[in-house]
Amino acid sequence: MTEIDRRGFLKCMAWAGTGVAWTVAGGLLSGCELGGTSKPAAAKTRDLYFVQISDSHIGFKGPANQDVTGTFSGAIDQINALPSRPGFVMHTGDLTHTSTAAEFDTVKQMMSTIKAGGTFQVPGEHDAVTGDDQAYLGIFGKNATGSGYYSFDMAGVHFLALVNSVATQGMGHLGQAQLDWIRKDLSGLSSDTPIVVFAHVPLFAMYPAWGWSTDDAMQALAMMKRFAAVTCLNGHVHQVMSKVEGNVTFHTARATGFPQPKPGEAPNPGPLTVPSNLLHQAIGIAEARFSARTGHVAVIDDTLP
Amino acid sequence: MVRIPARTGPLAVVAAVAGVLALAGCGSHGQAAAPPIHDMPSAADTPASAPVATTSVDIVNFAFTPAVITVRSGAAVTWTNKDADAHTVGITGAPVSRPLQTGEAYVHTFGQPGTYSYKCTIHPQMRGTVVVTST
Repeated sequence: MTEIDRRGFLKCMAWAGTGVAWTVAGGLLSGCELGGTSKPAAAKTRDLYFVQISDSHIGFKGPANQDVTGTFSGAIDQINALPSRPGFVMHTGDLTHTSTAAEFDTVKQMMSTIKAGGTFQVPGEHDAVTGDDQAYLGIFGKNATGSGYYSFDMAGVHFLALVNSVATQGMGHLGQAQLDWIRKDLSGLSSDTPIVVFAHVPLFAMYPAWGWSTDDAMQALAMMKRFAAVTCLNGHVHQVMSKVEGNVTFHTARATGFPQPKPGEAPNPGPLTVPSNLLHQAIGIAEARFSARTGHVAVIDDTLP
Repeated sequence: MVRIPARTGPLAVVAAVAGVLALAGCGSHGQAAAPPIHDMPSAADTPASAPVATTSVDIVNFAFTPAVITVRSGAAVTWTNKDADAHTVGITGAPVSRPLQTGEAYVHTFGQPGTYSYKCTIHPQMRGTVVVTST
């Protein structure tokens, strides 16, 4: 009997005589019928460890970071030195700064040196700077739909990789075609399936005046209301921010390229120059652990060494 | 000498089941109420901004300045990026400029008289207008 089975069984036993007992697992209230088999709420899941990197901006040159390739390389070294190998590493966009073939090639080669079960990515607006996303899709869009969205399953968790920043469909916008795809993608899942959503731009209204929001995110999140726990992991804002709203936890990651100002604390959201000896404390990676016991994802933000 | 703050260790922030941070300027779950970025008012949409007769536009603080200009037919307009981020000049009906890094400029020559709107294709909330008059 697994730990959860045993715990669920004991809880049911405690309520024996009342007919139905309720236990909270994976954030979902689930009834366990007396006399029946106690099932964990998040069935068929197992612990999973993965890493999020974001906003490498390969090709950027400026006082905020004179060597974005070097810091991206440092982030990869940091991942490769982790005590346990991640199930996968997700890059949440702005892989490049100006979408050139050379920049994409550098990112692709560098990501191939990551030691993990696999690597994934979603595009940011800097990966389609003229509104043309073909260069990105040609390299990274092989198994994707439309503007580059896809889903995958690992350890019983369902992951969606969404596109909400490419100018062809509107900045901070998912668009109807993608919303229709999300609805279809989620339709076969049982409500106790943990959901993790990756997208470049935050899926909550972090600071709309700077383009730090997704105008139709509510429509996507409405489709996820029935799930016990939804975790949205985003980039774009080059700083850590968390927010919990009902069944959804939002989290934004640091960049590996350069920091950006806090909302409204600068005339514009562009690169923030910090003293060079403090740069590594303003950029980094995000480690994420999905716990089969709790059904939730915990994120640990690490700055670069 | 700059003093480096003591490292707080690798656990800078742990966000898990709870841990709601207050967000300055952020409504609670405000996506529905937030104005869509591409519909945000820009200087170009403001009737009050009278066209400025110039062939030079600065890109500064994520805005085209001046946002509305007027030039004679045949004039070459120069956009200069003075931001730390990259921007483009995407004129409706014309190929988008290459991305302009800090200090780089883009020149476009306008022929037919008319009103040309443009935007940065990386940050589409950045919009501008060129009014071309006959010589």
